[in-house]
Amino acid sequence: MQETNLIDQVKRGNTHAFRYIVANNQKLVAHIVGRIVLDRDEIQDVCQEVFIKVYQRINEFRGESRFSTWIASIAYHQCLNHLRKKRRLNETNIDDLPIEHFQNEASPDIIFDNNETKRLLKQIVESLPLSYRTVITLFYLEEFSYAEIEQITGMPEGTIKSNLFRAKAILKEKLSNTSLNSR
Amino acid sequence: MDSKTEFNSESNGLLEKLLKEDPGYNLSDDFADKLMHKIEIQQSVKQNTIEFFTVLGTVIGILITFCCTYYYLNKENFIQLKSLVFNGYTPIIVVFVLFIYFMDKVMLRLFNLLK
Repeated sequence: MQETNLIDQVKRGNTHAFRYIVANNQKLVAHIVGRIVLDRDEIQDVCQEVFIKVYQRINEFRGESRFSTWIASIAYHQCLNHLRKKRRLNETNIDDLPIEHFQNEASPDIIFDNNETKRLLKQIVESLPLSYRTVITLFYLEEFSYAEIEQITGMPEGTIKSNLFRAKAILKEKLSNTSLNSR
Repeated sequence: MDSKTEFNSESNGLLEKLLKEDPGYNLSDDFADKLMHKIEIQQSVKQNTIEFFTVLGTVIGILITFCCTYYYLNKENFIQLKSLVFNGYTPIIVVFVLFIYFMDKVMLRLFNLLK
């Protein structure tokens, strides 16, 4: 069944159709929530809150944007609310983190070639400031356009581009440092 | 070319490739089931609460209309009626009936769904 049909069904009160919407979008929501909330114990609960909000507000969806963009926007704002509640919105500056956090035992020859590097990159991405890891996730992982990321986060396009550029620069620098340190 | 420059020139594409890989934030297999159960509970409680307050509002409305009409038609005996209603066990019985009704309509259904 097409997504628009499913949305119409849910609007008419068909909860069964909502199950398909959840199945189609749970990866997207898990990625956004995972990258912003970070705490694995809380990801499931926040994802549930996101989908409950989607269900409650589905009548507000007018089809002016892609449905995934709309859901991503709800997920992003729900995560911010969650973090605000936990008073964790104060960012940890990546430069404040100890360098040992990023070091590994991998040989430089196999950098990018094994799971250890993926794990390391994930660790570095998770230690980025919230706005950086949000745009990295939306742009690369979910392949949203700049305009869509603007819709989701409310950040101006220029800020998104500069956050993306800085985030990549930090990632490259940290990975490079790790590679050089392990030589 | 030093190591760092070499890294920078080669890493861009690889970095982007890695950033597109699944970071492994997976939800449990029964996520959708649990979610739908939660939504059903919320819907049911919301509906039953609305039903309860609708009935309560209707009963209160009828009582107020009755009292106003009685007061308008028979002012002298109204105080007697008032003391008859508010003295003795009548208020306790009314509160008890409302409590039972609320338990049946909202709380019991909520407990059943939470099982």
